[in-house]
Amino acid sequence: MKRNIPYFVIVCISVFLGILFFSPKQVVRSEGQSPAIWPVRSVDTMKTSRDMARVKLNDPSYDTSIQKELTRIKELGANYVTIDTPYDDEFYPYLLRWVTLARKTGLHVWFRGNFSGWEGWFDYPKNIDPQEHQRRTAEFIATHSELFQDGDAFDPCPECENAGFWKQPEGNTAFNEFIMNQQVVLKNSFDQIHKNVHINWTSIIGGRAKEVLDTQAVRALGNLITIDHYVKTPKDMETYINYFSQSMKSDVLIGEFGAPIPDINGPMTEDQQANFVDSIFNVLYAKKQYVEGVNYFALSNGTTEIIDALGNVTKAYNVIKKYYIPGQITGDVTNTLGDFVSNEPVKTIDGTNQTVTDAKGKFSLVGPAVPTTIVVGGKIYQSLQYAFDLTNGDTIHSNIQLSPIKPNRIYIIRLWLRSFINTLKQRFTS
Amino acid sequence: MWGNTSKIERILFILLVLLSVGTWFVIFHAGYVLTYNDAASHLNIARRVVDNLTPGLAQIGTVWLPLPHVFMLLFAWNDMLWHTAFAGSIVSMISFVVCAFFVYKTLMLLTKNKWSALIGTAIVAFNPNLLYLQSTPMTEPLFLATFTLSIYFFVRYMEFEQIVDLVLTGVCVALATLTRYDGWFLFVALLIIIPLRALITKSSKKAEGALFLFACIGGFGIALWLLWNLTIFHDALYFITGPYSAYAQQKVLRSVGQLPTQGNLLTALSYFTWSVIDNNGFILTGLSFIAVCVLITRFKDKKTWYLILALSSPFVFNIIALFTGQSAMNVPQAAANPGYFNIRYGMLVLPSIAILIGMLSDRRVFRYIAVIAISIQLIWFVFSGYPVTLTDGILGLKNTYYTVEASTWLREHYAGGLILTSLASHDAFVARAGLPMRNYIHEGTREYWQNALLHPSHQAQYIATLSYPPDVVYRALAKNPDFIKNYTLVHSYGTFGIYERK
Repeated sequence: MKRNIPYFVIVCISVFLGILFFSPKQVVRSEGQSPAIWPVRSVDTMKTSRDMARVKLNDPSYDTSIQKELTRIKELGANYVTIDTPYDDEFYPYLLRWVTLARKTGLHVWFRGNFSGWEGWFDYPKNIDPQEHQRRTAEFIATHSELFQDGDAFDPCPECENAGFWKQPEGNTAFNEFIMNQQVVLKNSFDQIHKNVHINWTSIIGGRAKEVLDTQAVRALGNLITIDHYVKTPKDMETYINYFSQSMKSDVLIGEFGAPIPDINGPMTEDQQANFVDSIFNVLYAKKQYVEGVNYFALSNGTTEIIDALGNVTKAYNVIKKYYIPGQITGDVTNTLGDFVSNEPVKTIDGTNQTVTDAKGKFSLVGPAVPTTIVVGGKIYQSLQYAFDLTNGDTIHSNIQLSPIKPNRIYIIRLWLRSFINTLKQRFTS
Repeated sequence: MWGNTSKIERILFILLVLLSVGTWFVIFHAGYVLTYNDAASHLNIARRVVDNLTPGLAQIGTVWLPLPHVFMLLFAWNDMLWHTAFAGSIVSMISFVVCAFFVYKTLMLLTKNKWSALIGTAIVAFNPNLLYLQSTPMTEPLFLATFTLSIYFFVRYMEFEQIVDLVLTGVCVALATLTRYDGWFLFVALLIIIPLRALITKSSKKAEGALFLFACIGGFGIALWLLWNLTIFHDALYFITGPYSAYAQQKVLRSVGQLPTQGNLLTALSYFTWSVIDNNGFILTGLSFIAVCVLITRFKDKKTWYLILALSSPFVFNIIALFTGQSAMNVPQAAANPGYFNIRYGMLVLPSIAILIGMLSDRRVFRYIAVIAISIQLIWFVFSGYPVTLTDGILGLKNTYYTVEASTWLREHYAGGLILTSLASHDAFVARAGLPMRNYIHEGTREYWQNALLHPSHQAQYIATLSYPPDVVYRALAKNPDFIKNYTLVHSYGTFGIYERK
């Protein structure tokens, strides 16, 4: 019997390891990422996903129109589509159609609907108080887990302040408490259904956010303030981003922006619209270290539309595309000795985008798909300019050699030695 | 038994007591005694027997088996012991000492070697997961104590063939059956093993006698529990069919696809094996597995076989419970929805692991291997961070963090009057608030409860309720005109709200 012991021990270990081996293991998947200016690039579909919700509720043929819109959004380079269908049971089939088609198109969903009873949409009685809204939010998530995928974003109450529960200034504290409480509800709810959904993209009108949000609420939002912000000038947009980044130590997500809004911008031609949108996006691009992303409002059916009634794209569409599908310039920077040049500045000639070379002399700049001139060096090395014609989604690589502004003696000696050795090599080889 | 304690046993006993108290002290000061909401529930069940609008033994209820609460009752009447949760911790601490001490005594009986016995004791005593649980009012330590006592007397019975040992085995099994349902499986296992052994080694008449005696004594606890349910709830199986039963809770989990082990034996086996590894360590679990195989081949005496069968009962029971969907568990190694929920069940095989490794190490070579294995495992535990049982508690607390916020608010703002809340759902809230339990209207307060759900403003100054997932109070009051008209929300955290009468 004793002779059998080693045999048994081996069998035991094999069985034990077998159980572990065949038991399910955690699978971690990662998503490939193409270069982007902002992590969030979205287009809003309120005019169709919400406003048509009742009219097209029982019209399956409308799916063709939905698909056309989603295809346009995908072609624009967006990674999110904003769906604004209400969360009421009545509209759920319509919401599900939108979400299903968005998934097929390869877009994440940014849910920006609400319960119709909050503001009284679609003739619903306005009978939801803040606590009831939290309850309905929790219930909606728990009972519709099939709707969500990791990477989606869920805003249960965009511009929640519009319902009028929190008068300023006496309601400011209650509003902040509501925002914080909403984060608790959302976190618990998505934890329960094991979905990794962005819960802090809580849209607030820009001015209101600036006046009301306190530091505690901003912290609860993960130091990300989502503003719906229509502006008259690019400066207006820049001022708000500066305020939130400097005073609140917070990043900004543009929950809604579009132009022209007649009351703010007056009427605009197609060219004027394109130029204005370009100027705003250029601000967001220049401030990209503080800007998480942007949701252009809206794709169709309004003064801010970027596809017309026939489905043709406008000039503003192509402007946005420059930013949503940017180009990338990469480079390997060495000095005249062939050493890697690290920590040397690389910037666009207008200074809107800049970086530095890493320890191996590599750099990468992502910018709008337009002709771009970059300046490399200028700190220790003499700066050089390079011009590129950046196109959508392309990566241009270049090897760059820089000379020091003031080479030290060792550098000069090494350079002389290098030159001497090269001369010798040429003599012997020729 | 106690009179024959050797010097080493007395020293061991004192060291175990010191280890237990020291660990409790650390856990208490870190604020981790009540991380499990179940811990607060156990404590409150004991407390409300004496501190209640309608006090009485019926407050023991039917959600959990009664023995832990009966023991806690001895201390929970005292305000300080209740507020600090020591009333519950002390039961677990005594259980820890008993468990580790009787692992030593069992191994001394089996191996007659103090080093083997000390190795087994060390495996129990230095397990960080048990050390954490023994500081909390949870039921696992008490089960481990009653299980170890049952095994000890069973081994004595096999060794000395004294009827008193069979009686004591039965008594300890009865206590185990009144502690956790794992004890019921132990009872069934021994109900088969004891007569089977008598049949093989003696005669059918002896087997019949042993079966009858053990069934009567060991099954007394189960009979008592059925009688209790029949008397109080008019249904002997109310603990299975009732609205707060484990079955009802599993039904909810099943409806949202959170019972991956149900109907899948391999998954159930895998989940429980991982939980055993996570609780007891990879090295010691592996070594105990080897021990089983070696011990089966080593002894001509089949006594070891019967013992191994008895020791394996917690392992088999938990796999069956997971497979049949009677129990829910999660492990961090799971492919879908990894987590720590109820991972502590893997702790229930700790005495079995300790006894098996102790038995293996009565040979010198295995003794050295065991000492090295324990040392490496301890270092591994230290570098693994929080024990998994504590992680489970902390994650559970995060999910019900509203109990912390709401209890803090109530403690600071309470201005007298009765509080209507569902104790079945918010035990932890009540325990943390620290207000006398006679201030609460809950499911166990009979007519107060029924009336308050119809006309809350007649009795309740405050109402604490969870609107989603809706608790029984919210379901009753959401559309109640009296509630809507007379109460205003004064505190909310997530979907938990406290309302005050206007």
